[in-house]
Order: sequence, then C-alpha cells, then structure tokens
Amino acid sequence: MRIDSLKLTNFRQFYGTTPKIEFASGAKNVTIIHGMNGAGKTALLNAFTWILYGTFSKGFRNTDQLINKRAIVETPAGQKIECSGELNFEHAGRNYRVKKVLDAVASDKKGYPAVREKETILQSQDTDGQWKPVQDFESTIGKILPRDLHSYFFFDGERVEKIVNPEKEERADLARAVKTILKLEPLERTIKHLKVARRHFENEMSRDGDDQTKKLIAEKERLDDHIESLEQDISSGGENVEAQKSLVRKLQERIAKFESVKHLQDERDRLLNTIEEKKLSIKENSQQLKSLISDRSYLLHTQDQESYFQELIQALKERGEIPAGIKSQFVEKLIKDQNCICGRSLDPAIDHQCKDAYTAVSEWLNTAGLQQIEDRAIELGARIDNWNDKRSDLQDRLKELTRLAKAEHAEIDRCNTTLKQISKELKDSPLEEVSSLEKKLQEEDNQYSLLREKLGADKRECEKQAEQLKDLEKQLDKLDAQNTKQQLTHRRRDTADTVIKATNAVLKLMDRKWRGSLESQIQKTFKSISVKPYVPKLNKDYSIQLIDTAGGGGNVAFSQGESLVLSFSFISAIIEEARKFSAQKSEVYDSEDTEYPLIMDSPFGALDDTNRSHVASTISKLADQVITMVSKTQWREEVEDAMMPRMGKSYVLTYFSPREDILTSEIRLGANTHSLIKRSTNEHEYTMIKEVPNA
Amino acid sequence: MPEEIDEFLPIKEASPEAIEVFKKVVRLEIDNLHRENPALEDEVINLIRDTIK
Repeated sequence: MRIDSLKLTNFRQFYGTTPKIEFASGAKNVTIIHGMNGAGKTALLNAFTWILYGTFSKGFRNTDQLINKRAIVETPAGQKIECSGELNFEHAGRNYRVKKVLDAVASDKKGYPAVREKETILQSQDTDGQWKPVQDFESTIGKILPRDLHSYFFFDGERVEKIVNPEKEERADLARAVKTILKLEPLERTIKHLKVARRHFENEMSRDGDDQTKKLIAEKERLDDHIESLEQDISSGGENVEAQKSLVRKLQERIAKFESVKHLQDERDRLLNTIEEKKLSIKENSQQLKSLISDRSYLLHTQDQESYFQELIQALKERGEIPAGIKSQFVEKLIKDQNCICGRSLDPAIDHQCKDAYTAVSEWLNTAGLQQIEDRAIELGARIDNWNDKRSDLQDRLKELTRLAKAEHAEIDRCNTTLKQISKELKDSPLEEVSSLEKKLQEEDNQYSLLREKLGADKRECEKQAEQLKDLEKQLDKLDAQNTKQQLTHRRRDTADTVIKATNAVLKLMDRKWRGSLESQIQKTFKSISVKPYVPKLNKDYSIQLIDTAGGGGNVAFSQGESLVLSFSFISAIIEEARKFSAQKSEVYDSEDTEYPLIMDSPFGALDDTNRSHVASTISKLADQVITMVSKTQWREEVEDAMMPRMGKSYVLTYFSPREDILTSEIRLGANTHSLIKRSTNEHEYTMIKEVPNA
Repeated sequence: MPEEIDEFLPIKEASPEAIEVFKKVVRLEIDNLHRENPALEDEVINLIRDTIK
C-alpha cells in the first residue's frame, strides 16, 4: 500500500476543504507534517484510520464530534453540514480511492447536532482510467492492510506501550496481527474448518455404519470435544499466566521506584533470576538423566549375567578346552580333501594306517568345535570390559547429576528463604505504600503460581486424552466400509483428517521459522538504534522482553524511550518479514504487494538525543513510506539532519486561535519562516494546512 | 533469510487428493480472512465432496 493523498472537509480542526495533501514515496519517501500541540496532528493520524477502518487511537477524545465546530456554527439552520475524508492510495499496481462522508443538519439550538454516517465508498481505477466501485469494502481493505495490524502502521508515538508491554486483550490482538501478516492465521482457520468437515463426515459414517462404527464415532466425538475444551483452557490459561506475570512485574517495578527499598527489590530481582537459572539447569539435568537412563540403564542390570559368563569361560579354560588351538573349518577341509598336512591320506578305505589317521584327525573336530565358543568369548569379553568402563562412567554421571540437582534445589531453597525475608521486610516497611504494594504483590504472586499449576495440569491431561484419541483413530481407520457410498464417506473423512494433521505440522514449522526470523530482525534493528547492552526476546505471544546481557541475563524494565525504540524495531521487523515472506515462492500463497506505510504521530517525544537521531535515520530506511507528524520541539537538528536526505514533502499546520492574548509562534524550515500559531480573524479556532515548497 | 526449512513438506508428502484439498481450503480461508462468511463451513465440506468423488 502506498498512500498518495488525503483531503479533508470540516474534519475536526480542519475548517472547509483542505488542499490535497500529497505524500512522498520512492527514494525520498518521508513526509513531515509540522504542528503545535492541539493543531491537528493527532486528528490527521486519526483521519487515516477513520476513513479506512472507522477507528481512532486511544488518545483521541470525543470521537462522536468529528465535524468542525466553525462549520456547524456558520451553517444556516436546516442546512446540511458535510464532514468527509478522501484517501487515494495505490496497491499492487492499482489505484484506489476511498471516501467517507458524515452529515448533520444544522439547527438553531446550541450543542452538537445529531450526526449520521452517510456513506463510505471504495473505488478502484481500471486500466482505461475509469473509477469503478469496489463492493466488498472491508474485505478489500483487510487484504491490503489488515485491520488487526493498522494500529502498528498508524501509530501514536505517545502510546506505544501496547506493543512492548501489552495488556491481556492487547496481547491477543498483537498475536493475531503477527499471525495475519505471517500468513499463519489462514492455516489456523483451515484446521478449524476442516475439523468441522471431518466431524460432518464422521456423522455420515455413524449414520450409515454398523454398531461398532457408531460406538467408536460417539467415543471419538466425546474425546474431540474434551480435547478442544482443554485446548481452549490451555490457550486462555497461557494468556492468563502471561498477564498475571506482567501484573506481578509491574508491582515489583512500582516498589523499586521507592529509593529506600530499591536495593531490596534489586536483590529480589537477582534472586528470582537465580531461581529461573537454577530451574532451567534442573530441567536440563533431568533431561540428561532421562536420556542416560534410557540409553544405558541396561548396564546396571547385566552384572549377574556377566559374572556367570566369566565363570563359564574360566571353567572351560581350566578344563583346557579353550584355547582350542585349531579351527573346525580347517579340520573339515582336511577330511574332505582326504589329505593330512603331513601328506598321509585320510581315506579310511585304503588301509588301516589311513583309517587310524582319519580317526585321529576326526577326533580333533571335538576340540576344534570349541573354537567358535572361544571366538565368541573373546568378542564378548572385550565387550564386557567396555561395559565395565561404561558402567563406571554411567555411575559417575548419575552421581554427578544427582549431586548437581541437590545443589540446585538447595540453592533455590536458600533463594526462597531470602525472598521471604525480603518480602517480610517490605511488608513491615514504615512506608505505608510500600507495605501495601508488597501485600498486593504477594496475593498476585500466589495467584500466578495457582494459574501456572492449573496450566501444567491441563497440559498433562490434554496429552493423555490425545493419546487415547490416537488409539481410537487407529481403530476407526481399520473399520471396513460396507458399500461404495460408505467408502466414499470414509475417504472424505480420512482426507480431512490427513490435511488437519499435515496443516498442524506446517503451522508449527512456519511458526518456528518466522518467529526465529522475526526475533533476530528485531534484535538487529534494536542493536542498530540503542546503545544499551540489552537484547530483545520475543515471547510466545509475540510480546517482547528486554534481556540485560551485561547484567546476568535478567529482564529489564524498559523506559518510555526504550519502549519506543523497541516498537520501531518490532514494526520494522514485521515489515521486513512480510517482505521476505512475499519474496519466498510458495505453492499456496500468491505473491503479494508488501509495501507498507508508517504513519506516526509524535514519534520522537520520549527519546533522548542519541536515540532520536538513530530512530530518525533508521525508520526512513526501514519502512517504504513514512509520514510523520512532529511538534516544533521534536523537530530538532539531529532529527532534521537524519531525515533530510529522504524527505520528499513537508507541510505546516497553522493553528488560528480566537484568543486576543495569544502568543504567535513560527518555525524556520530551510530559508523560510512559517506560522504555527496565528490570531484568528473571527471568533473560531481552526487549522489550515500548507505545503512547504522545495522540501 | 529465515532458516532453510521447507515448512510445506508435511503436506507435500501427503496424497494428491489431500494436497488439492489443502490448497483449495487455504485459498478459501485467505479470501474470507477479512469478512464474515457464515457459510464458510459448508463451503469447506462441499469443497471436499467436489474434490473426492
């Protein structure tokens, strides 16, 4: 999507019809809109989302009062006042025009008139230049820039928390948005609808099948429902656990803000990190232990057999039966050839000497037969010697792992004891607020533990039920269809089942591939902007954690500036991943236009000088088109220097105030000075937008 | 670039009928991703019926 222009009529601060606001794209892809606070920068941001999605950003107040107040007052009673927005954009080589119109009838009465939405029209331009209506507005816009994603591409720089520190509901939105752009959502929906289809065919099988079929399908239906309900519990349980974790973290951060107890919270953070590390280590040890026992535990049960074997061999040796000294194959060959190595014939029919020689050589066979035993004894003996070494190694490893596990558990116990002392100290704090926060924290922490326990239990139960389902499906696969119609239903059900399983596997692989790629892209961008030794980590629900690599790998409570840098890193990574995805040829997904605009209101406010300059130079390169609204204080030298090489267009919002004592304000852009605040010539406040020539 | 795994391998290894059903259903889901379609479940069932005759 490339936004070409916007035109507003009587929308919020903008009285009358604005000139066509054209936006830069291509090599010079940045458009800057300058304006003072309250001049209409946020209104402009919201004009985009109102036209395309009918939504507004959180900080945008009085969304039911979009019509310009001067227009309302100046329109004669009984006449219509129109408020509209028209957006022109290009997508995948096609031009689009969307116009949204509200109207109201002016009255003599004071107050805001009743407003109705008149129409929203989407048109696209044919190759012959004719504009034709597009019927399915929501679906078309949704395909171009999904609704779920719009708040990430049209974003309010002062409200970036939802990306890096989302609330529970926002977490779900975030996950859905990422899944949409990485094309995971259609696969999830495929699985969902194929499950309905599979059940439909199973019902047909049950209706037409014998008693056994009916019984199995009824049982499967019950298990399917149970598993589905467990999966829902696990999904919402996971969200609850994450939200509760975030709540606990926020309370800890609030405690850390009290200087007198900050050291206690710091120590608690350190101990909690240690516990996490130890738990991870215990988990790894336990996996090693499992794998050792699974691969080598036989060594612990073969000692008796080994002793018995060695006793047998020793007895043979003592009886002189081994070593055998001669091979049975050699003796057999002599007898077959009827020639001894001494040259004597071994044919018993010739004379008695030959017969005696034949008998003597034949007797060697009895001894020579033991050669095989001897060979096996040598081979097994070597193996048993090896087993002894392995057994000793296994016993050492088991002892070491057990010792480590004990040590880790002891360390966790020590940490927990100190944590309890810290908690007590905080609860007893003379600062009432600290004490009350700590009490609240303990309640929430207990709740967090309960939620985690329940989640674990649900997961285990789900695995158990899934095993039962697998067995049942095997039985179902073996069922014989009685006639052609039933066979066809079986095939349809089996195909739906096969596709569900394969799609699940595809989904897992895609999630792994793109999640990893998204995380490394976020890390790369964050590193290029921030000077801090922190590394962003992408959580399961696509929210972000910041890890302090220099400070022992603990979580970092990020500042507003870091939140902003992380948000930029996240958005630019999403754009980059969408591009990569589109570049990858797929048999399923068509290649799509992946040009994304980035429209930002006040993005530099919370940043310090260094970050401001890095962000300014980074975003203009990362997004295909950047439209930024800035106040005079945000448009500083370092931002101007960083963005100037890519700046294609520039506008100034001039706010007209009816106040007589208003202090006018100006901004110098290039060689010229432009008014930001002017005295209104009438009793109304309003804003005019003007292009800065030769931006 | 993302790690080199062929994420579509599990479906590529399935039968031609299953591959066809997969492609058709995913295409249907993409087309309906941004609009309400209460008949979508029936469309998926009919799609399987039409593919496996």
